[in-house]
Amino acid sequence: MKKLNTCLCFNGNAEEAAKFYVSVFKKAKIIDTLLWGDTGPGPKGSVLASTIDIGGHEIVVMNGPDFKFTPAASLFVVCENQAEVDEYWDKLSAGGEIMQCGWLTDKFGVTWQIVPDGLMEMHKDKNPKKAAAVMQAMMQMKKLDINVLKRAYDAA
Amino acid sequence: MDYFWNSLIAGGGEESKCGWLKDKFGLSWQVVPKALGRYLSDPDRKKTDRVMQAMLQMKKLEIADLKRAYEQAA
Repeated sequence: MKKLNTCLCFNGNAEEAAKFYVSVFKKAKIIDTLLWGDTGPGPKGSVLASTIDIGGHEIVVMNGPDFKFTPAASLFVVCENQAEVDEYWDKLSAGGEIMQCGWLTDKFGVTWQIVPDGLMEMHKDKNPKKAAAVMQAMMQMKKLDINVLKRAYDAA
Repeated sequence: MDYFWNSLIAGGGEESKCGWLKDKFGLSWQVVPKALGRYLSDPDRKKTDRVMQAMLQMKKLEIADLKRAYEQAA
């Protein structure tokens, strides 16, 4: 494991969530599963935690105490092109809820940001007019559209 | 372990159980010794149960105590 990893706490459906995330992402697999033993508190033999690897980022998906997810913490996915944005957006939002500016909450309550590569660079442009135009275009979007963002950037 | 635990909890954070803490911004962290993964995935269920039992009684994780639990259960 790397120094810093993400851990998500589910209320009993961690195994289902782990399988779902591995099915959504390319280069993703479940690399480890830990079961409850005799000591509890979970039922013996049920899944305590699965570790999934998504392109080298490890996420511990566990059945934990009764916590609630909030959009205050989200997973930030950088996409190579619009096709990838479309694919992840559709798959992750299925049964969940779409939000604004590329944010969505999936059916398990986990919040994701689906972001086209290059957006952060446009936001940081030295020309404040360009950065503002991109921000303004983005504020009107739900799923991000890289072509529209680029057009706003180029036109400013 | 001690360094990250103390630094992250400083200035208004809150300690929780099993190596968990909440920092002053409300973000939760797990501060975990490297060997714990190996202890908990040992094929000998007696060992993993002993380690789990020891861990469930801790706030900040103590490597020496976890190691002792792991080795005692041989």
